[in-house]
Amino acid sequence: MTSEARDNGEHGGAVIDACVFHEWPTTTALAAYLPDGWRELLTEPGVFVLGTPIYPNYLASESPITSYDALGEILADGRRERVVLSYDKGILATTNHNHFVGQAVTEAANRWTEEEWLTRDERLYGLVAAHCSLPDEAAKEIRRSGANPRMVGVLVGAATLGSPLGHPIYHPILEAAAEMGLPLVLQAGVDATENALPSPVAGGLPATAAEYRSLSWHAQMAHLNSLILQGVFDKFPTLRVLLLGAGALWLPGHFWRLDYRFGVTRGDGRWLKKRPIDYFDRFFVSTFRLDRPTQDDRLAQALSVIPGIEQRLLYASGMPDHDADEVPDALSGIPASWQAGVLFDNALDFFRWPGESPNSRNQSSQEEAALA
Amino acid sequence: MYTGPLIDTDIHHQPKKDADLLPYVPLRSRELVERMIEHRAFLGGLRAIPTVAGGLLRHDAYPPDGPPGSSYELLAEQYLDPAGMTRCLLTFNVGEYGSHLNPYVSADLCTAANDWNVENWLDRDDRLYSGIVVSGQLPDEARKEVLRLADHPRMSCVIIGGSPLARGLGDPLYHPIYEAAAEVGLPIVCHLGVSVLQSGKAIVGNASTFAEVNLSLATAGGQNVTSFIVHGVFEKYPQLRVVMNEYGVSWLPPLLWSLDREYPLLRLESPWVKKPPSEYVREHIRLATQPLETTSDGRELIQFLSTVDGIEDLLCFSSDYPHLTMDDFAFVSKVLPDSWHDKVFFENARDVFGWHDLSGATRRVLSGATA
Repeated sequence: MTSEARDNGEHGGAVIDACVFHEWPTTTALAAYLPDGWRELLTEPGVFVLGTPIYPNYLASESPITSYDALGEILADGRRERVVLSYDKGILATTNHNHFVGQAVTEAANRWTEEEWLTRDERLYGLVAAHCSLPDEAAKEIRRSGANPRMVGVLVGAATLGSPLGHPIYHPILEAAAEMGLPLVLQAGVDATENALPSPVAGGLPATAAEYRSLSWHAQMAHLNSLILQGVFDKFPTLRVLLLGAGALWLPGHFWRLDYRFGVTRGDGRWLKKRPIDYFDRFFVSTFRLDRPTQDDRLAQALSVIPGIEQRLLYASGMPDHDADEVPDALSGIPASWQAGVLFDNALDFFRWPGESPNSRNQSSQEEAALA
Repeated sequence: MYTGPLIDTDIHHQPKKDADLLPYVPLRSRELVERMIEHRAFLGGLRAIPTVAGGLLRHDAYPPDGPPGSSYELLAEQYLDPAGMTRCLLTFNVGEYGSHLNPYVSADLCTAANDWNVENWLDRDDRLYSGIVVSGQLPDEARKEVLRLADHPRMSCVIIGGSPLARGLGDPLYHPIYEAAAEVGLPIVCHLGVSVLQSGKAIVGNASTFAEVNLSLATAGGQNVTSFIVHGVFEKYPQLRVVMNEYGVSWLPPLLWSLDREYPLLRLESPWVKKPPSEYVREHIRLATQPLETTSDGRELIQFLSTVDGIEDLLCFSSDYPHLTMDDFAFVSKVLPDSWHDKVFFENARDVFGWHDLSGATRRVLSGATA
């Protein structure tokens, strides 16, 4: 589409879809990519490699996308110029209580995506799944798989080491992502599996999936706090994070409160170069499962208290999830002047696309950061 | 500037020292509590708030002989009189006696706190009201405690003094408490920190800084509101209302929208949820305003809150005196639209606590006011 048409906010043009979920049908589909030994064991019937979600997704799609051909309908209308593939269930391999299984399956999934999806269609891009239980191994994998120019970000798996993501123990992962110019994607639900002993929700585990779906942002909040307060964005100034699948409207009150609380104590976070509120521009959000006001015309009023939100909101369909939104619905309540950004430009900015070298991305981001 | 009657729903009072509670502790636990005091064990079991340099209490609120909040005279002189306070709710430190891991000690500490409160504070000044602190761990004993003190004219609510049982507060195990409160016509007050064990220090892992802990604790507010609704507490006890203290307010709009959006799934999993969740919130939940989530003039906060029509009906002013992070009345009255003042500073609290004797009250500032 012409950039003029985009500037006019017409959404008849090309779209970047920041999240379509693909899945492997059974572990056998990963067989070619599993190491010897694990292959034989993990492809036996009855072996579970994925962590079990605490809250079954009763509304889960009955037709997960398990092969390229199944993407047919989604790609058919021609609007999607680029599709970023994530995992709905597959990322739960990172919560396997056996670290070695988690690592083997996560790496196999990355290779499977590279070989069997990204090679099939130029429109498809992937996320390097990161198995956080073994940070050094995950860092190696980010450098390996992240060298594939069609991998555009890092999908962070569950933080299973007893602290949220800003803790230094995870810094090898963050460092590798930053070095490769890859942003992070934090997906709702990944921390809510039976192996997750620290609760993924404040106040104790809810009894129902419906509660959890309204509270799933708690884990993202904890990671966000930790990333900011542990100085991750001073250490890795180019790192950015997409908060996917748990809404966005908890953010404003949260960053006001965080900023205030930070000032109360002497000692915590003295290492930070800026105030917590100044790091909120590292975080992006998406239209997938956006916690919209019941009245559409209030969405802009609510969102616009977030500085720069029009540059940090991405369209993500979430197909084939029950909550998936195609373009007209996803844009409901969003001002026309934001639409070109939401549908294309912001994702263009956020992910590392082919042709962008990590060094040039990092350099220009550092320059930006220095001017800020 | 608002000049009408003023109610503060969250003022923290406490004994000058833990030993002051000892004479009131039932015999069942007295020897153990004495030993706990000797060992300087924290009576709430697990600390909700980590120790921070400089502490969290106003430096100018220390009486000569105890911690902030332990002196009625200083409270009156420093805060109630200059503010022209009409009536206030004394809520203990966090009311955390119910959090102690030993259920019987927990229940007995609550009983002691209540009796100490009656004898040492509640008849000193007609502005002072409070609530019956109960432990969530032994709901049947808690129920008895509610019934024991419900007739006291200054007991205007039931304060959930904590529960380490890792269940949201709407869980059926707590229902005997709500049944008792509903029977005697008292609302529930739920204060930040009440879910200390399961919430705040450890969403997805141990927090490393005070700010993280505090934010996790605050986030439990929405979880508990959700829990009350999902477990049908307000269908079972239609007269019951709940006041959420020190959780802030900005999380409420997105929670209302999310919960209403989940209505179909809620009906599947909790068929006793008969109305859209936001309706239960409007009828049964009130939020104390402190800490208002703004450090500036609050314009953006009000823009955000105003996305929910009538949100001013749900808010009750609170200060959190004598904590460092307390909200000053003058600040709050500048942030909130004038049209909200009557409701937030007076009417909503008057209604939820049943203080209809205050209708027609005026406000008298008793000494050099800064408000």
